[in-house]
Amino acid sequence: MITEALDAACCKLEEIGKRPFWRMVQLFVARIFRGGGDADAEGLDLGIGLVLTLLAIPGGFVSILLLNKYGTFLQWLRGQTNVDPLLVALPDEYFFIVLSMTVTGAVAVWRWDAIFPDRRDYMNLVPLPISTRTIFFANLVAVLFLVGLVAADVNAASCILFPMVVGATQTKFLFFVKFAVVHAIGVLLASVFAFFAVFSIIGLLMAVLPPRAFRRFSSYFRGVVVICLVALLCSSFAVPTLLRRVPAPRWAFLVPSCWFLGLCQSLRGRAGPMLVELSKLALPGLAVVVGVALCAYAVSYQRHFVRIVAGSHTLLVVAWTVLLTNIILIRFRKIPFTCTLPLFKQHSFVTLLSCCFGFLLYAMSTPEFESSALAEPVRMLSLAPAALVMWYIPHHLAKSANEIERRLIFEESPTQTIEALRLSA
Amino acid sequence: MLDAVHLTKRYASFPAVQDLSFTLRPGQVLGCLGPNGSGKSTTVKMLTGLLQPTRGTVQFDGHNIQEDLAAYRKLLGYVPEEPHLYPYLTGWEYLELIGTLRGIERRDLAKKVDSLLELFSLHPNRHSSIGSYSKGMRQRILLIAAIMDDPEIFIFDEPLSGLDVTSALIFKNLVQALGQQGKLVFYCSHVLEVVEKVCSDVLILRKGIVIAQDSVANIGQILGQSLENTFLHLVEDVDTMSVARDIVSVMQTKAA
Repeated sequence: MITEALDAACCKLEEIGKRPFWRMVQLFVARIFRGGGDADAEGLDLGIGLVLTLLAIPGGFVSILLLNKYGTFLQWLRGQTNVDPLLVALPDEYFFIVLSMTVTGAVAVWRWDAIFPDRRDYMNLVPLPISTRTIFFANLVAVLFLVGLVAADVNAASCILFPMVVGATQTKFLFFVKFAVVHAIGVLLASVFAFFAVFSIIGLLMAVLPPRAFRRFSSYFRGVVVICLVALLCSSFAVPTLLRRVPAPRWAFLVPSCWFLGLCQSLRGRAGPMLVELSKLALPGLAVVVGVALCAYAVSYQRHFVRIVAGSHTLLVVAWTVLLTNIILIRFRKIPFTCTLPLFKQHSFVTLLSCCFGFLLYAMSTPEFESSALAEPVRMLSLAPAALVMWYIPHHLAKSANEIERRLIFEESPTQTIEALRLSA
Repeated sequence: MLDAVHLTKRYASFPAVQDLSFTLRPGQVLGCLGPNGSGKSTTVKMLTGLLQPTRGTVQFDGHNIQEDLAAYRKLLGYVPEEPHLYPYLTGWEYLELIGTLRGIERRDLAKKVDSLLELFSLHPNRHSSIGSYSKGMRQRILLIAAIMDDPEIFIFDEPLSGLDVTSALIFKNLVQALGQQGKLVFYCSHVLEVVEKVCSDVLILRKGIVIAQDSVANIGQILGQSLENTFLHLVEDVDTMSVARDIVSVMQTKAA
């Protein structure tokens, strides 16, 4: 019975896998792992299995090495009794977070040339009866699959071995489960963050730079990203100690690995005030990076793959960005002399996400119109009234906000009531 | 019927193709000749929908191809100039992928791919990765990919590059057979002899402008010479014999 159901499920999956969209997803996954660049020769093909094994090794290896620290017999020999495992595990938790970020980021840097559809895809797929939008989504699905696979693979060993090592002294199985779940959440989110951060950098560079300049400077940018990742890994020696200091350094708010450490400790209920504040940045930070990455992907895809006239398109994108930034900044106004800069409010975050979504929608829906408008610039004039309205609304809102502030702070002419009571004197 | 109507393509201010118009009828094999930079590849890219013309339209059966590119491409078999294939796929996998994306029924696909690989002498290498293929083998894979769905329109951009003598002969006969089947064939090449042999009509481009368009027989008759001489007469402003002699003399120059 079970075998029959499994066979049926396998057949169904195989059938789905042979549909054009999923066949293209498979092609892109294969390209990400085995292809990339414009060279026709076969590169060093390690095979997906070997690559995944190599990626999983560091996490497992480090977990095993930690037996030296958490082993009860060795602790007893060292005279360490009543050790709080959650307190002792903080530096190691931080190390696993930066390790997962470094390895996942390194994978994104390694496959830098293969993440986006390239000239080969253009030549092979565009002349076929499939829309460029389908190619866009198939590649996006392949990238998301890659993120999930790499994040799971890089952290698989540490998600099982590290909680086992830390919980060796504990008698309750629940401790192991809780620790493992929180650790998995922290490292997986950190991995996803690192991948999308590198993905955003590639996408933004592709969206901003001309194709030739991108290809020329690509290796330099990769070098810089690798240096940043190595620096992040090296921070594991110092950052946990610095975070325990009172007051903790403010720059920790700029280090994403600290956000995810804060998240882990908050979920365990063992975070100090600083870590609690840091943890609040983890999910919004992740959402922003994913949003930026998707927008950058859409824009760079449109520019490099759909091949719209680059200069004019960049101008349109810049104008659109300025407009969206204006809309976002209306929420972030500082009222002089009365209060400090408002914190990152929930509704502002929603606005930011809406803007990212708006950008994505813009990038997806306008290529045909842009192409025809750029071919005959007179058509561009039809955009003018809409652009005027879109510029006027945020401008008007900003002006109204300024007016309110001016009245609040610099009330030079007293109202009639104040005059009548002679309070202004 | 495929119509190019006043096609113009500009790259920044440089005009690659200017006001190009022609009609390709069923059964017609139209050759496109021109020196490097004359706009042949740009014309091909506009005909396939890879490039949008700055002005003018490409129409198939009276409809602008840009209105429904996917439907148009279903009827199109295109062989590009450079075989940019996926080196990590095998020949069979590549053709299976293209067949799936073209929407060919699965039961027909495997049979068709096997038969075509056999006919193009690639069957023994079908499970080798394309990275290990020679240029000619890759070109044959591209040819199979273009014809496997039995399209109505064929656009060939330098299809013979890298092909061995036998494959080239088979291909030339294939093009003629496609014409006889009532297909529309647009054939872009530098090789005058091939165009003369396989094409019914010819279009000669120079600096993005059509300078001659007629049947191969008529063009020769009008100027009273072969297609090669006609081409040189119309397109090239150089005395080729004199240039060849100068090259030999430079080769033989020795420092005093």
